[in-house]
Amino acid sequence: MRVFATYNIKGGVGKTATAVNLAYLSAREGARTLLWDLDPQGAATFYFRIEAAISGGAERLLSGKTDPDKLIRGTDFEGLDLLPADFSYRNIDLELEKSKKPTKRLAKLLQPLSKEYDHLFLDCAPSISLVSEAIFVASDALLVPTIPTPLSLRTLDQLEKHLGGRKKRQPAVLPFMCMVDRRKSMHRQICAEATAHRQTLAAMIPYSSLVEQMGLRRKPLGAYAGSSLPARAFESLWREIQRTLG
Amino acid sequence: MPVKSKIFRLGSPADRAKIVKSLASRFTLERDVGAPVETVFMDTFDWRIHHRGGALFLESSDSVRQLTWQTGPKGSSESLSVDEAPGFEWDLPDSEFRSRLAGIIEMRRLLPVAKVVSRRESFRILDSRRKTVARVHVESRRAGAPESRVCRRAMPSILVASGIRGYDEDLEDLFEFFGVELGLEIEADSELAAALAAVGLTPVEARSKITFDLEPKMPADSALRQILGRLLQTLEENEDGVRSGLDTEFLHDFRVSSRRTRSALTQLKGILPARAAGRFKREFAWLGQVTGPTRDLDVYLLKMPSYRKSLTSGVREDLEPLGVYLQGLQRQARSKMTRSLGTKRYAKLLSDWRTFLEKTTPVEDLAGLAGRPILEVARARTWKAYRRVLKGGSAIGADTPAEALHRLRIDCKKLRYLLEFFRSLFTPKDMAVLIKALRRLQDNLGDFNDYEVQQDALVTFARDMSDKGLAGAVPLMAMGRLVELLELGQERERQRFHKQFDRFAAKKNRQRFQRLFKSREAS
Repeated sequence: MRVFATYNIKGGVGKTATAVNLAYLSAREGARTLLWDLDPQGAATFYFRIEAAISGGAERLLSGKTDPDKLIRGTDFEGLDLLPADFSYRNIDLELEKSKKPTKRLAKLLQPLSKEYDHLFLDCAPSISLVSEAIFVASDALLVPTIPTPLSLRTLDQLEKHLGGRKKRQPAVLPFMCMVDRRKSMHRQICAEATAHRQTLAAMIPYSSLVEQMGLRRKPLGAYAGSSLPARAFESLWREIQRTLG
Repeated sequence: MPVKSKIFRLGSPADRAKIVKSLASRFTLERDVGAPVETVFMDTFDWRIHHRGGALFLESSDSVRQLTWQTGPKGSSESLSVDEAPGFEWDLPDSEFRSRLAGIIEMRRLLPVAKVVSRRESFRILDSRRKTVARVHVESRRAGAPESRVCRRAMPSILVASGIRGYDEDLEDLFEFFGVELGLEIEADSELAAALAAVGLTPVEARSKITFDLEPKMPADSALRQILGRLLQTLEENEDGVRSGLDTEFLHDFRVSSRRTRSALTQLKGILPARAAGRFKREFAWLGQVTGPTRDLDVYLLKMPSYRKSLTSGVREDLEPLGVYLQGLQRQARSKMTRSLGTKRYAKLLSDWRTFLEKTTPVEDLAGLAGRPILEVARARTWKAYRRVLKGGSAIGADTPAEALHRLRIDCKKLRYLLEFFRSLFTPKDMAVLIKALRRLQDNLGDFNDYEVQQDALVTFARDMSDKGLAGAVPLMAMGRLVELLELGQERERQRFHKQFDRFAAKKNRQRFQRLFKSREAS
């Protein structure tokens, strides 16, 4: 089972839209796919019209008392399931600290799911904390949506430095430009610079009100605007991610 | 992930409309656009999947093709997207689905057994957030034979209620609505059973080993004719399959019947008129010769996947020229064989043989061995064959040349055929034990021989491919590696022989053989 985490310290950069739309594409291609909404805000859960509540909360889930299998719900889309968010996820760090090996706890929890799913997407809350460390350990790849501004690049640098210094298991870091507004000269400039110098992926997701509409339509972009520009951008992104990881 | 569902039977089309109306008044529904679906049920020639209680089918709708395997009537089902109907398990992508299916169907081909065309009205049941929590299909279906282009036979209409993971309560509510409130009955027939019933076909009984049904007091002549008659029947059943070449097992079963026929004629000499028996023996030998090369090549082609697996991943592709070469040879061999099977000689063999076997002679007129009770003859011949195996095997030491093992293998085969011919004359348990013991020894001797034959064949192929410029150094080296691996395998089997033979010749088995087959008169 391959684990992808949409991750960024910053909020509002497109983590959830990315997780939801790539998970949708993954399932459409025939891979058995699970999306775990780790953000207490529960946006991904909301997009799929599922209740953001899990029985027993984060405490019982992380301590192993609740079997994640019992909490998983099928979305409206074939092959795509969701492990819902819960407001108690705001306490995940505290729950993780209770276990003997906090950073490995998540990976351990995900282990039995590998028999049922080919791809797991983790939609992460914006933070850099114990749960982020646990996510780094559990993931094969970090998908880092980045808005093309100098501050975002600085944050990206910070992340890469942090991960570079680790001795432990390393997820592949795949940053990509997201919410790109081609009318802004700074965006154009930063995108050009990124392409020339950095390790960002070639695929870029344009800013689009169609993507914002996910909150109204409450379904993945591909389900209501499959041939639109942003939808095709997500498809390119997905293809490039898979090619890069091999 | 297993999807829970229940299937209810519907009455008339008028009922359908009423039911949909009730459903809409009770639940929030959304209608889905449904396209007609064509379902083709598939199974091996010997109905392996069906006999395990499951069903395998390919659903085609628009341009989407999905292969579903229901592993039991109430059990779960799994689906796989495919581009076209699979012929063999190796046509499917590497997956657990494929390995489990391969465990059941092995190398046999999947053939279409029934076709159903269904028109569906599909609905989604929604909750307060307008999330789909369950699905309902109302289906009208028609069946057709697999070769037919149009499906015309009427089948009962059904309603399928299926769930979405994590929404079990909603599904239970739906089941209760249909089952209790509307009083619908569960559809007891599987779709395959209903389709077959509509078309008037029945699943062939599992083709287990051919069984013979002999009575101890039957005259040897009648018993032998019955045995040979059953073998002829098997031969005829496999003919079409041999000609079509769809599945290697047809030719295999065809040849096995032919071999057993010759063995029966040889080992039970003196029962049937000598001249006729001699003539047919020669003709079946000819049949063996014209079908042999194709079977040999089938076997090598079937071995290719395991050959590839036995080499390391860097070297596997180097075997491709061998695969291509073998396919070419097999095609040639098959056309030659097909021509032979089209000759008058072949047709005459089968019709004359049938005529010969159907000629019954009154018991009083049967002279000599032909008139003896079959039990007597069976015991005498089997005992003789058994003694030969014991003698041959005991004489084999660590340094005995391979030739002795090959001879023993043949003697074991003769004994095995006799045990199988006469199985019905003795207690099932005794025969099961003896045949199992003999089979273990045969497997060891068979593998030993097989390793040697494969080595020789690969060397011959390599020479030919090299002479014809069909393979460069690299493929030849890969084949050389294979030969070495086979040599190691052969050596392993040789080491195992002594233990296997001792097991077979153990006291308990000897006593059983004696009890069953040794003559009660002076030993």
